[in-house]
Amino acid sequence: MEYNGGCVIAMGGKNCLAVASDLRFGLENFTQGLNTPKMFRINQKMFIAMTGLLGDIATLKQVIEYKLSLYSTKESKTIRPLILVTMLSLFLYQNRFSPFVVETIVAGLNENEKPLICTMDVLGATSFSSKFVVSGTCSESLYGICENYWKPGMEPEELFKTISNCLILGSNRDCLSGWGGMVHIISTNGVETKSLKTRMD
Amino acid sequence: MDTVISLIGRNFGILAIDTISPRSIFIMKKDLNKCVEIGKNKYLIVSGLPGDVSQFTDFIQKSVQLNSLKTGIPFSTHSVANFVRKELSECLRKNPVKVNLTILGFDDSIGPSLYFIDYLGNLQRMNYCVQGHASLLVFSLLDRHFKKEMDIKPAIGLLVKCIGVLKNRFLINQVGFFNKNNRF
Repeated sequence: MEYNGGCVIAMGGKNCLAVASDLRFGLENFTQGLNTPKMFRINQKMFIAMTGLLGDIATLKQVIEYKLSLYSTKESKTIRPLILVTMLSLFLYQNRFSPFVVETIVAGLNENEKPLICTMDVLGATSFSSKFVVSGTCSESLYGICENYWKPGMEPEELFKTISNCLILGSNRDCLSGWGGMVHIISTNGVETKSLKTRMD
Repeated sequence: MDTVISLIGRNFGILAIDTISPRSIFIMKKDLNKCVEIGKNKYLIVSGLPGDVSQFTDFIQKSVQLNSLKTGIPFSTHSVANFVRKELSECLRKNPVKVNLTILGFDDSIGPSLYFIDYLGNLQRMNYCVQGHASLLVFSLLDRHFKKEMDIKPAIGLLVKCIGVLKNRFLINQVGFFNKNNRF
């Protein structure tokens, strides 16, 4: 889990959502790459973010893309966040005895523009939250920081500031995360992407 | 462990690979060419456990050839890299192969591209990459002096600097460096 490092936060606001991740790609203590965001866009209003082994992250992303295109072909509609969570959770449990070493976060806006955020462990145990979810090597400190800064009913600009602060503060003290950050803000108007300048160490 | 230093410039890529084949404390062969060509203008360097290296290299080379014959479409560097990554990540849970790879290729539409793949299936596209124990010494030098879209003379100068550092400070006497400098 700590081999590649990394951290991800997803936060819910008022009819909007934000997902943030750091950009480090490391091999234990060695930083190999500085441009590896751990979030992937699934469709118009949904993101999946994963931390853990980067090889498994890439494999799981391809599996999800495959399952989603199958779903949209069969059902002729875009998938809802809750359905994706269930699908993913089942898939992860299928590898009960040789699990994918990733902790997944699913973040998406429902049809009624309410945010849905959920985190899953290696075996697909889901945990929904109306506030925020975190994952990664510095998750303990992120929990504390997000708990402090999160407020209900935040608008997109305020949500962006909050999630950026939390990511920067959380990854500053962790040597396995950081080296830049990226934030996606999902709202009714669409998706905005912003990069963060962080400590490069 | 093998040293592979690779970087990408304006319209070319350079690889510097050590040429020794060690067996415990001895040098078995001093002039080994570890660079394998897969398809046209794509180079693969595999390093790791000796048996795994030769088996995996042959497997990838022949699979890529077979696939391009079957489909009639020549593979791009991006697809070769992702194919190798997929094979490695599938092997990881069945019959683990402890090899790290560097893939350098040139495509007409994209230009030069460099990929690094770990034995766990971590794929990373980079502008410059060092593989092996030498990465601890050489990476910071490349971080400092590398610029995007370099010309060939400065790139070779930088490579010579990196090899100089290794000759100075690296424990293993890596006798010669084989330079694959492809002006695409």
